[in-house]
Amino acid sequence: MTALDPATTTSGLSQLYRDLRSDLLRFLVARLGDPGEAEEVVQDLYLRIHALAEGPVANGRAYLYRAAQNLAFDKVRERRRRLTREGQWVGLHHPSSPGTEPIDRRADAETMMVDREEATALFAAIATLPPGAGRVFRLHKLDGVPHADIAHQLGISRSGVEKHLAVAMAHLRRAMIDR
Amino acid sequence: MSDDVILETAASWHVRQGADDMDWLAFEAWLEADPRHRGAFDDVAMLDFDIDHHRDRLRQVQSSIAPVDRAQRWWRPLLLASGAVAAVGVVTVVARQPDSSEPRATGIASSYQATATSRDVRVAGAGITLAPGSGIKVHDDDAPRIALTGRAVFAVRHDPARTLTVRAAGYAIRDVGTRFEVVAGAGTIRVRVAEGELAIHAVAADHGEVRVRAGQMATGLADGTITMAASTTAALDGWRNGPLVYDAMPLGLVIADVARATGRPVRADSAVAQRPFSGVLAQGDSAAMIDTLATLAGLEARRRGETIYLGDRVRR
Repeated sequence: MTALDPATTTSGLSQLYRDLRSDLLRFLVARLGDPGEAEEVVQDLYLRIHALAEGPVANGRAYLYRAAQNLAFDKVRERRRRLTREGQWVGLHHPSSPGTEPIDRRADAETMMVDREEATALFAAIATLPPGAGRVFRLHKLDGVPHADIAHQLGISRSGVEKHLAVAMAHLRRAMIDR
Repeated sequence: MSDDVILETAASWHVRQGADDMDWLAFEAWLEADPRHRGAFDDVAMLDFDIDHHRDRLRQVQSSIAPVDRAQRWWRPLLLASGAVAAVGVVTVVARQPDSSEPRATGIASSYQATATSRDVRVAGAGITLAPGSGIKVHDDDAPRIALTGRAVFAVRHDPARTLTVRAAGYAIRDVGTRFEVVAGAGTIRVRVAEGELAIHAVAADHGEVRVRAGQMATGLADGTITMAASTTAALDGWRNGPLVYDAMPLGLVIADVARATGRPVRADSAVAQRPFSGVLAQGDSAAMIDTLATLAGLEARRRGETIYLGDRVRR
């Protein structure tokens, strides 16, 4: 964070939301590829701003885009979960019945096993990161050190930190598909 | 664009989205340019989510920071001080383990606590403003020692004959004549210096002393590592009448601050405690503060008994 914009109060945020609503909607359509879901998210965003009562935020526009982005990601996860679940039902030759919640009936043990396998695969993939990207990735993603502090510690620019992180994420993604 | 290039570009957008200068319109244009872009971005976002989900497990073996044994870290100052315990007073205990029996101390000991509002205290040659819910214990003699829980601003006149030490969250701050703010909680500390200079070190770790000068801030994590950055916010005690401003502050510390400000039991899940948070929170209604923080940080609030836990959104 560089200079702080004057804090935007929630009423200011609601005004900003009204000003940016069509921009946010257009962004969400691009992000989700589904106008219906985009409309749901933009509505949800409005409700959330109102639930905030009186909390001012720094940089209202970035805040609204980030919040929209977070809510959109929830939709993406929901979709993927649905796909996995349906896939698993088919794979197990169980009839898929809408309205029931199969995930609850799936043994916890199985979920834990899949979880552990995933962690092991990630562990192995992280070990193969190029040294520079690996170092920045560990500092940021595992130890929670902010980009700016990493830049300072390693004597590189912030965009250098971002480049290392992007290389690491792309590398890990490839490693996780190839396993 | 090849799939590799798409994936790398998606990753670049992903790592930039936390920055205030993220170009959202350019990101939107990139998403619109090719339907494959959206899929690649989803993949990276899901991967990031999975990494966060497994963070504690991965951290145990992959951390770049050499872990310091918690128990050892805790007890070492006591053992090293051995005979001197009574005289020195080892006030570290106060911040880390409030329910432990306190070592017996000699000299004049006094404590001050701020409840619903902030409180000004003049003690041991220092002017101290305590934030709501914060407290200090003072041993005032030739080398005054102050144990802090919570958040406070210190103004200390330099006196070579009497060096003041502030202890909080396992860290010791040696003052060299300065005005500074300390926020401590959840084993983590943030020190911002407005004037003068001070020195800070983790009491149990051998990382050595770090000097913090005017305009700088230091963040000490639970494992004894200290990182430095330029302090971007101006007033030290802006929170007195205004909102709480956070600049890349570890979430554990932010949440401890909110718990103190609201008097509500709010805690951070360990997976998110060290993650940096930047933003502004208005002081006031506890539910609104917690909700704002959760939304800004992309976290989810869960209630277990009386306590509210803020953590990553649950994966279902």
